[in-house]
Amino acid sequence: MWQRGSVPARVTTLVISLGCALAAIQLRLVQIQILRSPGLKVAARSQQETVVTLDPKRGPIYDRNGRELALSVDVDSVYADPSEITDPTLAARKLSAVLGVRFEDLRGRLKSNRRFAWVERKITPAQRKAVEKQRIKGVYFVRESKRFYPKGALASHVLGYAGVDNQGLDGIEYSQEAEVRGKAGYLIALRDGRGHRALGKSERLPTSGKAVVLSVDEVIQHLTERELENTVLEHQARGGTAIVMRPDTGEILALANRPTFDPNAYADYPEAARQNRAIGTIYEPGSTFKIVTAGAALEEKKVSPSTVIYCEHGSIQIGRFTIKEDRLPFDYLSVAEIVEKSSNVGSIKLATMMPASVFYKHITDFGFGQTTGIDLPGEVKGILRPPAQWSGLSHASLAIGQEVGVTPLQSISAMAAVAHDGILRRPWVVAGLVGEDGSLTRPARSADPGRRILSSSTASALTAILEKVVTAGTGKAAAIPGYTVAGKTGTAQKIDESGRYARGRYVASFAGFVPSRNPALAIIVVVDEPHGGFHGGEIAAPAFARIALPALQYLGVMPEDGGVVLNRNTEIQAALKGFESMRTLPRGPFTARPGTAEQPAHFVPLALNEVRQRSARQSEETAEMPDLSGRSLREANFVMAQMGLICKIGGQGPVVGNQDPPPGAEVTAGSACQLVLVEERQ
Amino acid sequence: MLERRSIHNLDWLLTFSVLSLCVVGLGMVYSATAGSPLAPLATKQLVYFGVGLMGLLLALAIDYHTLASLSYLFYAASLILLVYLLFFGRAIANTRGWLELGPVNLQPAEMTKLTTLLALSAFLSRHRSASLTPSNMGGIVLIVAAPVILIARQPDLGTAITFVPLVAVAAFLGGMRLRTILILIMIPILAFPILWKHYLKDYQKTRVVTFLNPAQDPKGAGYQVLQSRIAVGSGGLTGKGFLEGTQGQLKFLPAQHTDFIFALMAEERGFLGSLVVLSLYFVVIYRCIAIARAARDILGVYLAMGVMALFACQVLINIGVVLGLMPTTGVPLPLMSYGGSSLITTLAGMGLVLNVWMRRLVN
Repeated sequence: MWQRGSVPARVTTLVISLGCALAAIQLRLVQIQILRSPGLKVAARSQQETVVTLDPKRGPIYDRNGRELALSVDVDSVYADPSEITDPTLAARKLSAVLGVRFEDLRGRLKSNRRFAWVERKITPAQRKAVEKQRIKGVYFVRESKRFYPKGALASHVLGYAGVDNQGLDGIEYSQEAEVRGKAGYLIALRDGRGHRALGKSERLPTSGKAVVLSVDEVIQHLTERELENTVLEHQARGGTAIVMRPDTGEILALANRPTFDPNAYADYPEAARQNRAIGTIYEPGSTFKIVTAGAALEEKKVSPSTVIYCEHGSIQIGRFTIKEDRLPFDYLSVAEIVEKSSNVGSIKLATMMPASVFYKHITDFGFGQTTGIDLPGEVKGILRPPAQWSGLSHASLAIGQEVGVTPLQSISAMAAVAHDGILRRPWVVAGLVGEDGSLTRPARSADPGRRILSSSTASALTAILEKVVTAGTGKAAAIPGYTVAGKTGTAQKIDESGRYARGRYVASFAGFVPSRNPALAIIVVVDEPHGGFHGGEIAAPAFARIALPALQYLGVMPEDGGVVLNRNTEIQAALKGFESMRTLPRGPFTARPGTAEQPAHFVPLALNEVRQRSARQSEETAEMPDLSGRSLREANFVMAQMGLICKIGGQGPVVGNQDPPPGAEVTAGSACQLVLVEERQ
Repeated sequence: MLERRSIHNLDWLLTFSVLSLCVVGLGMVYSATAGSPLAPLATKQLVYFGVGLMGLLLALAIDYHTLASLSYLFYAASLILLVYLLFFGRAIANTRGWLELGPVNLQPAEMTKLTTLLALSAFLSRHRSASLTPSNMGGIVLIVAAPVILIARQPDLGTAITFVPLVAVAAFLGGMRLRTILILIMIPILAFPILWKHYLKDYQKTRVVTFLNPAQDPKGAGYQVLQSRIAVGSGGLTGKGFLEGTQGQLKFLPAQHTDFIFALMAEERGFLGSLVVLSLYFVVIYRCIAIARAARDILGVYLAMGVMALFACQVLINIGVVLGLMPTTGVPLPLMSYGGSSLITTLAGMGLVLNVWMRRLVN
């Protein structure tokens, strides 16, 4: 009952204005809840969820016998939640005193608005204790995994190194990063409005990286490093490279460079020390290249090894240039003698028997001017110009290994092709990748059969020539008693920065294989700028012999002259001199065995299965100690290597008499056990 | 008093809407406090709801004319209580507005809204005139000013301001010219710069500034506004589900069981849920106006419109704050926010409106 007519109108106004207010609220809801919803959902998630990354454990790297070359250990890292730190300056001062971090940097990080700041990564247990003692609120520890190279600088150029975030930066660590790194896990933690971690929402556990089994043999690697080191020191050389390769498969057994570095502290070494010279530097091969020239001429059937060539009495005219012999002038030399005596004139005459394009084709067949495709990063392809760019002198220069730049790996691959019946195999170092579950992947590379670049007869003829080089030619110092060595010396003047030959700066090299008729090893030694001599024959050839002999004995390669290897253990001990870690590590079975089609003589099968079993076993944690009494040391060693047990040996005799722990005891991989040898089976 | 026939005259739509909002509110209070030290509050709110229902029945059962005749008694009693509070009231959040009764704390200021409305309606129905005389206007201002000043002294400016609609509705219905009303609206807007400079306290200034630009200080003053917007927005169309509102469950939302309960509801129930709740509020407001138009006498008109004005004002202000349309003020959302005094008062107010409806036909 309204008194005046105006009141209903007013009520209408009121209802309309209330309706407008509600409509405004509706529109606002549409705006916030529909139009801007996606953005606000992200805003909600980003303030509520903290994603904690769980780092994966990097896979270990093993040598061919399953011995650890790189592994991951857990260490502490310190981080801070700056929002919890009341006095950043004081905290920064305390922490920088304990950890040696720059005070200004640290204070800056602790003052930030973020909720997370690293204080220092990967600290020592002592540093952790010191930080704990400071009792600073808002400072926490987290376990991180750190790469550790137990053998220090051994095979560092093959292994490479991993950075502070466990990322592979060079070598195998880099090239196999995708496999070794593993997959990061994450944990999504919900955070409440006060910044406390509320509850875990979802997580994915990290997957450990795969283990890498290399073709490298720790023992051969060690003695290669040792002899290279000695050679470089003896001749005060600027650097050097030695590679030991298996000709029939292309697998690298050892690869060493000087200068070298310790991957545990890679940042302390200059770039030059970290560079893998074996694949990353080029040199003029010089005389070594004469086998390519001779091989090409033989393959083209222009000559036979016994064809006699007139060597112009020491000099030959090429256009305006005269090329002379390095030492004595020659008159008449057979093709074999040209290589053996390293005649420049003879080689040039051989090369010029072929058109430039044919000669060039043979050079590329040997793998020069292109990368070998080894599974290591940083390989260069060298220098080889195509015939279209050749000068009038190029054909002749190439014949004697000039105007061409090669890497040590290209040289040894070419040499290995001669050794392996004329078939060039692609070199490789990764034998297999083993997952945590024991699954095994073998890279396709290792099964690549390679390609024939020389006929069998040419390869055989070249081998005969190379044998003469060592028995009667420039490479006598490479001879090894009991074995026939085939090889070629190389001496090349270095080219200085201006592109001219540098006076007094040489690269001395020797590349060869042994035993020449059933080659087990192809080895190259390259010495950069030696002093007190510069010929490959006097500087590199002795190093070849010093590497080859213990390696052959270690592999159990029987001498061809029927001579008996003296006490094998003594020889091995000699080979391992100065290599402390080997004494406590299981050596695995490495005695000689008869060759088969799949597994040629004197090679230990790769320890892929052992690594697989070890990987699978580590998830089981413990195993039962087997009864080893009455078994031979070799058998016992094999069993224990399979179980990942470290073997200590006492007593003397052919069989195991006593053991500790006793049979049936629980043992974990990596623990040590003692075996006592006795004279007779009990 | 309550005749059997009257039951058939109950406004079922209004009753249903009010009770629905209470149930939604109880659910949200439960969700807002579940798993936190505040969890017992949900049970407490259920008890308040029961008490509120009794208040509603009481306000419904007694003829509103009888209540109006006793209104000065209620009014005087509440003023005495407010004076008492100024000296002996319990201070919570710096406001001496709480009466401690055993385990519960009551805010007499809330109840005073109803007693003031009753007194005002009784006064206006008794001193009726063709237009708003200066003496009538004086009476209106005097009746409202007394409790407002006492409450503002507590100091609880937020609650004090919610009395303003009472004056507005009285002036409006009393026949004040629209031009006068417009001028009255303009005065505070024009006076704002002076107020800003001389009278507003720093925290009040901060509220206005952060309302205009909440991102300026997201961790500080703008925090509530920003978190509320994130909660509402991340609810999206259908919401995250009951007890799944992460903004609320993770305590990013401030005062989520009281002033920001609408944000929690919007987060968990989404745009659709918000629409339902808004519609329910609209039904309540609309029914109050309809009941006022159907009222038997001017007293009924004033009562229904007064309750509507109090109710609508709080709803609009609260949701406006939650959605960032207004600066932050401590006004609870009627029927949904946690708080016994507000719930009981609102339900009793609704009882009055239902009372007017039930007795709209002259016997």
